[in-house]
Amino acid sequence: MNFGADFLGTWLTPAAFASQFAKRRKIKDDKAGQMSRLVQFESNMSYTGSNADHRVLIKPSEQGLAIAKLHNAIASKVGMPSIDINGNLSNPKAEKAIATVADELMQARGKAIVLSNSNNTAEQGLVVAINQGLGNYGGTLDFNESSNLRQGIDKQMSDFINELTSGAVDAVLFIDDANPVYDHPKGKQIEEALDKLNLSVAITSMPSETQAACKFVAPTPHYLESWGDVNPSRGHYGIVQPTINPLFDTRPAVISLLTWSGQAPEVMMGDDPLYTFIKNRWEAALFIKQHKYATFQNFWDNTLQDGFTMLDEEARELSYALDITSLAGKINRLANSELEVQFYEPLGIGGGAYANNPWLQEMPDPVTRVVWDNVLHIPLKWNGSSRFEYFKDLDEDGLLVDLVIEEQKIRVPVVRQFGQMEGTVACALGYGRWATGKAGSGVGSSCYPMLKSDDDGNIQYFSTMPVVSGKADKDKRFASVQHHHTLGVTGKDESAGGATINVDEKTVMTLGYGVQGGLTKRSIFRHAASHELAESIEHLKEERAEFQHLNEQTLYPDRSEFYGMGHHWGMSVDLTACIVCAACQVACVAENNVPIVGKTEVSRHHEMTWMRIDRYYYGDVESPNVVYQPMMCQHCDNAPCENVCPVAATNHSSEGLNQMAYNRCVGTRYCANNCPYKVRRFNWLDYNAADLFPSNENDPFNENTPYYADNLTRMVLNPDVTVRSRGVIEKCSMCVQRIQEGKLTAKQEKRMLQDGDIRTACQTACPTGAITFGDMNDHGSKLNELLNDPKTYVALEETNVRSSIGYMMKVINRNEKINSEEA
Amino acid sequence: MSAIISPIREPLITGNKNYHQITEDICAPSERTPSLAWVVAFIVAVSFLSFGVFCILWTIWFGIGTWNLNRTVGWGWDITNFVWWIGIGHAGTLISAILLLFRQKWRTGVNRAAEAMTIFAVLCAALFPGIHVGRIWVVFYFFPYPNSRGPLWVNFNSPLLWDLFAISTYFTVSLLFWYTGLVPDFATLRDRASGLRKKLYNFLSFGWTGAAKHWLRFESLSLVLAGLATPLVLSVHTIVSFDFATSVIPGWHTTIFPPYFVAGAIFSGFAMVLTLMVITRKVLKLEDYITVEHIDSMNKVILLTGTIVGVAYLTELFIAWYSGYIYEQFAFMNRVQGIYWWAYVAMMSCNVLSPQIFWSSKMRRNVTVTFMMSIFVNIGMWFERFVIIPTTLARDYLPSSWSYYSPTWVEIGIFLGTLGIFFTMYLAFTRVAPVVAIAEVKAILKSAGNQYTGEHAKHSHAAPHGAEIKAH
Amino acid sequence: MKNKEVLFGLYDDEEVLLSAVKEAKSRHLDIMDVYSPFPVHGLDPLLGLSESRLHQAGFIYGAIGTLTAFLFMTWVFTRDWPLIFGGKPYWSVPAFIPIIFELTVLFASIGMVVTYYAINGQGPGVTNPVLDDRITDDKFCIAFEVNGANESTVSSFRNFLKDSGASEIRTKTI
Repeated sequence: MNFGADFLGTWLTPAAFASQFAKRRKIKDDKAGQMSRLVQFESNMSYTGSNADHRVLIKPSEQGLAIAKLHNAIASKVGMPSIDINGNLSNPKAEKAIATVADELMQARGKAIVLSNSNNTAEQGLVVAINQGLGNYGGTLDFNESSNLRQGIDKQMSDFINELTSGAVDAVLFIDDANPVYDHPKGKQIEEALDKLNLSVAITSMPSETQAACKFVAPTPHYLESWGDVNPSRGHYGIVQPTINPLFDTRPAVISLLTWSGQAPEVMMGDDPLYTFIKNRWEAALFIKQHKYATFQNFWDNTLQDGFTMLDEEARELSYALDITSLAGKINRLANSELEVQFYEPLGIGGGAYANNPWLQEMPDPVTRVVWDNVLHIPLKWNGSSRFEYFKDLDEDGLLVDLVIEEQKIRVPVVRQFGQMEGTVACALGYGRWATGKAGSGVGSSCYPMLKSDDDGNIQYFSTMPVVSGKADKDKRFASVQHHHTLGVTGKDESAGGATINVDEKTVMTLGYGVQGGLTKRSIFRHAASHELAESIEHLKEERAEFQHLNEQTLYPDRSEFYGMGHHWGMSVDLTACIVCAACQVACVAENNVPIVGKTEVSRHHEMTWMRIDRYYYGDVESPNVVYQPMMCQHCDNAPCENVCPVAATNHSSEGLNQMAYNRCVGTRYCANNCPYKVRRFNWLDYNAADLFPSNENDPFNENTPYYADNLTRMVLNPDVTVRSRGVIEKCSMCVQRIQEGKLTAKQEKRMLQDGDIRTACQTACPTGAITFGDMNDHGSKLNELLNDPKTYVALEETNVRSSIGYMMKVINRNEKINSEEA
Repeated sequence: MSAIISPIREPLITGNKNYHQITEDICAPSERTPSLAWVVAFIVAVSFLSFGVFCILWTIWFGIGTWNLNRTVGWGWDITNFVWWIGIGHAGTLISAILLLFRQKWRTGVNRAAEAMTIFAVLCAALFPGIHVGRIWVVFYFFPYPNSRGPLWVNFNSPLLWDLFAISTYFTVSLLFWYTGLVPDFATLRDRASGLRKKLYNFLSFGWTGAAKHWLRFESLSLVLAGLATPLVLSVHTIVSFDFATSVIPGWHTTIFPPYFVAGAIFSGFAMVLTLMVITRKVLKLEDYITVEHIDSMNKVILLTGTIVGVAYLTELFIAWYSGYIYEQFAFMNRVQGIYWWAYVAMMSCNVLSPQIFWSSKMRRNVTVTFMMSIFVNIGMWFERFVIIPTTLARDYLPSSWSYYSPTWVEIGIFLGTLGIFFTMYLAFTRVAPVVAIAEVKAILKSAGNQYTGEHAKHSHAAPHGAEIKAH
Repeated sequence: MKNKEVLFGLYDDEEVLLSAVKEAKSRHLDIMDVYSPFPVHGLDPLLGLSESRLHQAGFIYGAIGTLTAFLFMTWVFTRDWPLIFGGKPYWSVPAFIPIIFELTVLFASIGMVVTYYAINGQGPGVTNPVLDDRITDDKFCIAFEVNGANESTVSSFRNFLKDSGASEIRTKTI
């Protein structure tokens, strides 16, 4: 039960949460009984919300009210005092949902979690009370496993800014890449105040807005270039090791501070002072807390190898003493404003720290599929008979509007968002930086100055005072990688007597009304509700049998016997487990030297990512469910692409991989046309700055080389993978370099290849284990187990391309009473 | 084969010509200085050609990214133009070869120019597979030649490779067939010329003397080449249709494409022949050789092939519905109702509706109407290929990949450049070579000249001394 | 090439030519060659010319083309470098058919055309002697070789030419 906390996206430690969440979502065979249920209460389509079983729409300002109502519902059942609130939620379905959810939470007492992303102390207090009442502490929630991240207190920062601007501060040190000039709502005041200070030092590894405002900068190395240690949560301690020597003339922050403070002079005089300092500290403070190793050297060596260690911390005695009644006045009130805006942290560049990372800028936002910009999500509505109606008639994605809150104004493109609550809009933070480097400066618009604090000094990430203009302009370079978003969004068709139809199928044509089933009858994506899983599996089995029967009518004899010898590589993707963190996509880009093409090229649909994560909305048009389908080269055994290449640049290996010979490709693009999954990518222009024509080539030692052409940036390339030139096709190779490496390792160790020896980049990056790579001919492999799962299907199986990727049906755990029309 | 020529046959050569007049009339355009009309047209054509060359060089220098093709629509104006030009080229061979096999005398008025048009159209078409590739500097990889890379040969399963063989064979055979027929006509020009012109035509005429044995072999060769060229025409456009028919994309993967494409090719080719002939006969004063009869006959072919094409469109729609295969059904609904519905409307009205005007004999024999119709048909056939290629690709199996395509100035420039190439070469052709097949027209004079047949025949066709005259 | 002396007559109409040739044959005159601006039908049997064997040559060239294509593709895909394309077997004959057909036509055409010009003695830049420039215009010609022929032969040629309706009678050394 989640009030807006995007724990699968950007809230606290999403990778850990995702991994834990997935464990209770994956189903083996048809046993759905143990599956968890996530109900999300929010206004915008957050990443977590898109993975929820239910989304109930509430406005940002009424989250407090909703929490209070839930609290009272639980409190009455467990005998706790209620809180005094009145008022109704603006969405009647939400009122009913709270009651239903309260019942479900009661049934799952001790095994449930209630979360909220609210930055209001009182509201979080209520959430604690709810969890307490449900007995979740000690079960699903444990204070002894507390996170050490995000320890900042908004009020203290706010007080600091007051001191700074009033001149009470003499000097400021910004450490750990802190960047409040950009990401604090009062950043402008900080900047102006810094200008008047005599001493302001930025201890930072990257150029930033704050660093530009400071008088001095002490550049630190990147964390991968230096030693360090971390303590992310109670009991977890990790050592950060450098992977390369520092590239530039930098000094670790710790060493800077030690130098200035004059401490530990003997360490400072030795060589590698940082390493010595950390090691000494571990010996002094941490070695004593563990019981596994007898000598410190053993402890140190083993921890270095593992990367982290778990130490015993004393269990804390915590007691609960919250006065509910005092909270009533402090929760946020439902504002009766025409429009509310929810600000959120996007997945790729986070709060702005990664804005200069082109991989993350070009990673399409999983929900909007937009790159290199932030957008205003606007609501849409099905008009009941024939078309969609859009907020302020903004009927096209990429139209520019002005978002104004008091004196702050930004111009942003809009995206028509399915599932955005009417009367609300949403916008991402993290964009609009201006001093971060070549890639990130000037991308998008910053919403930080629009954030306001409540009476307790906590920054509120929503506003009830936005004013959105109508269409002001059009972003000609608006870059989205997906233009059709739905596979069966249902609504009522008044012109057909109120029957429930797929409204997207009705509106997909320019003239006329399309045909029902035009999208949903495609065998791309299959979903089931957990309580009907057995029937869905039965239905799937019949369909697959029919497809396989059709596929057996072939002109040529098939090669299944041939592929049954040796290895036959394949992959399984579990759609239930995919929570679209998009780590797989970025990992693929990193591993395979996939070029970044920039906003203009993506706006022309020239994106190069080998792997994409298609996002489809399905279900109720007001609050649809979402499925994410990672789509990569399917390595079809009857590949349509191989047949049509005139120069034999692509063929099938004896191990079932579709191979691509880049240096043979002439670039006719017939293979890309013939791919039913459209996974092939063409190098339309010289994206790798490695032009063949001598007069077009870039001088790598020139100061003004374009991005990617200089020697430093080229260090990002993986030496195991070719860099492709202009005019050739490329696509997922199932990390063939890793396959070869795995085989070579096994050969050198004089043993057979085992399942798990070879892991593709996408598989390695996935926190939920949704992607599994393996050998179909290895009967004991995990892959085979998954491919034989009754929920597995092949996308577009009836085209008889014999894809090697099996998708497992998405199963959602629905309670049909939530969000339904009936009482 | 001997037959009596019926007196009610319409004459194919008007103006009471004799052999010498035929020679004079047809050789005149290449012997006199070019008219102002020719010069102006040539300058316009060359300027289009130059712009086209510039656009091609721009594409090669910067990359296919200067076009608006994208990850979903990999072929757009480039392959549309390719198929359009190849289709146009088919009329020449049809007129020369198939009509020869069917003993249609009216082919002699138009076959020379039509075959020339074929050569030029195939050249324009062959440009596109060359320049649409991402790496034109290795386009020789298409050719199976022994090399030090294995040797690595090519993929003979690929329809694009079949295209390579088909189009080069078609170009070669058309060129040989055209040139073989041109040799006696070049001899005619040689024997009338002097100085540099004589040297030029001497070279081009290969030492032709007109000996009986040579004519015997000439006819024998023509017959066999015609017999080879006929299945070649059918096979070449069939193979071009295989570029689409052998793929898996719904709307492309259909067995109707080979006959549909061939009929469409003949349709558009005849339209282009008419466009050229209507202007040529007027400007070069060849109305006596390219008569209204010729135009009437060609319009009948247009009506027939246009109707076949229309039936094919309707069959596609029917089969899409009947198949029950959702991807195919959606693909066709998308053509009619989707984002490119205007292209479909243009295609249907220009190709199916407008040729129906030729049911009327009066319309068939009206030169102005014919000219306008020929332009419409070519526009309609261009839209047909546009509907087939980008419309189908833009929305195929996976809706997440759906996209949109519209050309950049570079692509439009290349297309205009090919028009420039085509008309430049055609205009040069009219200056250098006889536009009508002199020898062949002379051969049918006695049976088709208007003094020998038709309503106003002054002489009968009966030969003195009762010699039999073979029908041609 | 030694010089030839030729006596020839020009005719204005092909029907006259045909009857003249028939007459010449009945008089057992040895015609060197007959020239015309277009192929005159009925002339070949009168001159006793046999059917050209270009057709047979074409068939053979075509057959060579068929075999070349078929065997080459088979060798490439089964012996030299077998590759798997689209799950097809190595020897995917249906896919070979278009190229086999095209190469048949190509070899037949090029072969026949080259043979044709070779046996005709024609080619780019070849110059053959022309008896009269109007032969390629509107005159028909019957030519007799009179190298060192005796008077009576020559006069029989001349008489024949006059009788058969030749509009001009000339001699020329070529």
